[in-house]
Amino acid sequence: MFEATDKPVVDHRQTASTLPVTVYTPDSPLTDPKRLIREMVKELRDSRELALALFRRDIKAQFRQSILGYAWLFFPPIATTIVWFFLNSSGVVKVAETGIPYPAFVMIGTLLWQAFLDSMLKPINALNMAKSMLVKLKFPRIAPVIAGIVEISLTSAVRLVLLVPVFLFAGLAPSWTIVFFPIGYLAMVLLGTALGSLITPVGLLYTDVGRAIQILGQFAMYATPVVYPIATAGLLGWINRLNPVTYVLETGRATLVGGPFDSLPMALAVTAGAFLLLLLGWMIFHITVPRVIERMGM
Amino acid sequence: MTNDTPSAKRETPSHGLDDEVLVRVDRVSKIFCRDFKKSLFYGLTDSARDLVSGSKQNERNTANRERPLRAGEFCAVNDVSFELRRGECLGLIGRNGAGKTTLLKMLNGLIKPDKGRIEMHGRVGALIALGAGFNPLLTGRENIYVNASVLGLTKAEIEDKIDEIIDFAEIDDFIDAPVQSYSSGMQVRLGFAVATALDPDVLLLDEVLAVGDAAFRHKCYHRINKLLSQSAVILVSHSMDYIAQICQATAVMKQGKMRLFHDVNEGISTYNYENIDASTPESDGGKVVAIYPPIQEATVRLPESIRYRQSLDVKIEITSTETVHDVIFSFSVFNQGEQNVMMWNTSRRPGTLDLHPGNQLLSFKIDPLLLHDGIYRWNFSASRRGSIDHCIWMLRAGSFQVESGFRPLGNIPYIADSSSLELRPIR
Repeated sequence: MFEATDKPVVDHRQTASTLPVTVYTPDSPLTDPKRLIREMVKELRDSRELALALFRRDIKAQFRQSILGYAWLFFPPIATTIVWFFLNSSGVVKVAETGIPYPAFVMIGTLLWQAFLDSMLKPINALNMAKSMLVKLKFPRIAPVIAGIVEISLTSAVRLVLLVPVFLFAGLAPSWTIVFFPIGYLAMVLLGTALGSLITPVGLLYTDVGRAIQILGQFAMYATPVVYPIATAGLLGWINRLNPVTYVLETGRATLVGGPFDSLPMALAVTAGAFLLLLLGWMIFHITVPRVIERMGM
Repeated sequence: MTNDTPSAKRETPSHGLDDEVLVRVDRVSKIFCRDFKKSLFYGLTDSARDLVSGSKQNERNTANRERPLRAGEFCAVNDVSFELRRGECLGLIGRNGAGKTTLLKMLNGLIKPDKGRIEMHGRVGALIALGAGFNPLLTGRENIYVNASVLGLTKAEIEDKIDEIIDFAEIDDFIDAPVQSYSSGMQVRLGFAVATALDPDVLLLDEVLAVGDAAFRHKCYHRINKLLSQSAVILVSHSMDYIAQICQATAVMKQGKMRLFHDVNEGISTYNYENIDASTPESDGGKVVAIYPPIQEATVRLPESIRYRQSLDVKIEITSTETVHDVIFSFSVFNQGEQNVMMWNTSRRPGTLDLHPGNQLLSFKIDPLLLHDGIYRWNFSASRRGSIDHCIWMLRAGSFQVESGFRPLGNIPYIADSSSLELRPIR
């Protein structure tokens, strides 16, 4: 019945030494830092194609069961802008002079903030969405996260289209510094991803983290000059200055309207810090997430 | 496929050139926690320990090897070791919760072992859960691309193989329809097709064959057989037929412990005996004895143990209060796989059988009994002709053991009597 095994099989894989060997042991990956870094880079490389496929899948599937489809991307920033525009124009809330027409100010701030918050929550959400796959299929654990971040970057970028009518309506001409805007915008995503990667391991185990961020996110938004200009004095001024997001957001907004660039040096420092933080978060992710997924339930 | 001599035992194939170990499992254990909240907390502490212990981990782990279980923990896989070479197929059998899937998940790298070491050579294809990772909103084709890249195929390779995958899965009309419109069988076929299209060095299959229809199972069997020439296969199945047909060795798992059998059938019978120990007559799916008036009592007597080709003598004592005219008695035998392997009844017997008031003895012989080694359970019933209303209804009411001195080929329960076998030329 099993003649097959007796036949000489012509197969390139017959040469034992060429086969890659995967070893699983209980040891922490940190026991061998060189191997750890090699594995991390390899995982990143291996996940390129998969991340792209997952990204395409998510984009396609996201709005497949929806009539308005991609239009939903635009509603949250529009809603926030309208709310704050009326709060401000009706005098319910008095926002200090913003230098540019208020709707444009709020819209830019909201879009940048949304990109930051979305990217912070994305690693947890992306892994939770992929849970059924993660517990059953072997693939680079970082792939859904990459797909998620790419998705955030692109969908948020698509939202920027909203700025066109707002600028026209406000009669505002963009400054030449707009060419730097993508950098400022990506810095917001980077900042969010870096913080997100740090909270992911715990956030996957305990939903408390995700819930807390939803609520704290609202506080954080008002602790950041999103809908009001940076405060110069008082408690709020103090909070604004301590908040690293302030500088990146302010600079991002400044690139669109041509200044002021007071926050630029701090923004660069924060972005560099975020980059280092992301590397650390990536390593923590690589070491802990497989363990955490084990516990997520099979 | 008549085979009733002891020498019919299949041997593990000699390896020669194929003597290449692809899977090496060395004293592997996995600890799980029953309490979900505690499990989450242990996950947190384990992750933290991985992060801080760094290079001292090796010493710690040596100590860890002896670490006592924490509250709520148990060994899902306990000190398992084995090796698998190219061209071999290992059948992993055991009752639910014995640790089979956990072991496969460790081999596939989905979960880390808590003790021991696993070495996997080459590409690993796995079908651990059926339809895993299929997005219900996407079409079959889109899902093939996603899943195949999950399994490590490059885009070019996928394009190369997509027709073959669709062809094997037999879902041509549905390939561009969302997967949520697929039947579960279609999803399994697609999953199996993708997993095996990978040309894996090691193939891990968990309960794949159980779901498909007969035609598909046959195809799977062929595909696995083909893959066997170039892969090492581990197959988890509750279908002893398939284990017996495909595998050259079995591993029986029980509460995380593993016993290896180089003789497939020895493993299967070990598992079967284990099952009968575990199933008390009163348990679900166990003994049913129902006697309805006018029958007062019915006692079935048959030998506990009988040798192959001997006569099985069945005696049944029946007490009735009234006369019951034209009764049909039936006696059937089931093997461990709940397969009906023998059926005997009096419906075609000329004349009628009546039960009279008082005690009487019904006896019959099944001679010769052509059943293999194993434990068999019997059903007995009596009813009036033309009525489905049984007056005696005994389901799995008892068992007897057959000793034939050799093991069955697979789980095939009944073999034709070949005592008159001869082979001679025809002029």
